[in-house]
Amino acid sequence: MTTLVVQRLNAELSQSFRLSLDTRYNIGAVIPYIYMHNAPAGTFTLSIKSGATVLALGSFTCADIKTALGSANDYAHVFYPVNFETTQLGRGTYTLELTASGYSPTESSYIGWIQQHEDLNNLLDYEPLSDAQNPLAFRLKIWGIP
Amino acid sequence: MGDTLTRLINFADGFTSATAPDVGGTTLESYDILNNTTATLFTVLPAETTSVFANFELTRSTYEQAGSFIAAYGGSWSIQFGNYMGDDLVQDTVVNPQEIRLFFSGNDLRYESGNIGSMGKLKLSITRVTA
Repeated sequence: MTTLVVQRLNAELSQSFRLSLDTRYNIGAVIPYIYMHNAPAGTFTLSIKSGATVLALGSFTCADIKTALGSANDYAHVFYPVNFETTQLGRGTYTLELTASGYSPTESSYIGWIQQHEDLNNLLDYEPLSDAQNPLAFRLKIWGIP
Repeated sequence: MGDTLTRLINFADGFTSATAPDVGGTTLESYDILNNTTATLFTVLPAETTSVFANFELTRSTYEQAGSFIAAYGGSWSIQFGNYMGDDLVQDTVVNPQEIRLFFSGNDLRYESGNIGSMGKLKLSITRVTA
């Protein structure tokens, strides 16, 4: 059994990240760790932002998640790749923002973003005092880096 | 800042399930209490939940209250507050600017805040009894 610490999406969820090397990163996809609870209706959009400026975004639905998993089940936890046109980012701090349209969450049907412990992919600039303070987990698909 | 709704999901082996996994009995939620505002905190559907037991911590400027409440559905939602420590911030009527009123409107738990001039925070540890 797996115990997941999930942030339920209401209006928005956001997670900052920092690119530290003095180079240009070619970002092909952002891969958030998504929790789907009873496949709610709606379109979910993940954006990369610098301040208030949206640099890139991609959208998905629960039907897309189920198709990618090859499953008709309505409950799932998955690192789901959100693809968009390759975007170049330089060194700096950015924000991932998850929003939704046509989405009315209830306790029996919602989308969530799963938190994970700090690791090389999810670096923190603070010390988490409990699992509830862990970052929202994601991976980046950076072209040219295996 | 912003609202946070934490859920503990006990997921059986594998990445998908046809049935709902167990949700941890206690959820952690926090809400911004905006100045001079009436707004909804969360919605409780009686088809899903029949009772709500909550411990809360309310901070507004230099004021702080830790307390508890019970909400139960008997045709409509009613709420009753229990013991508390600290400042007496939750009131039936907002008189002083640091106070708030917590009340149900239909299935929505709502708050009405005074004009204290700065945003406050309401943190909740909630246990929902499912229908």
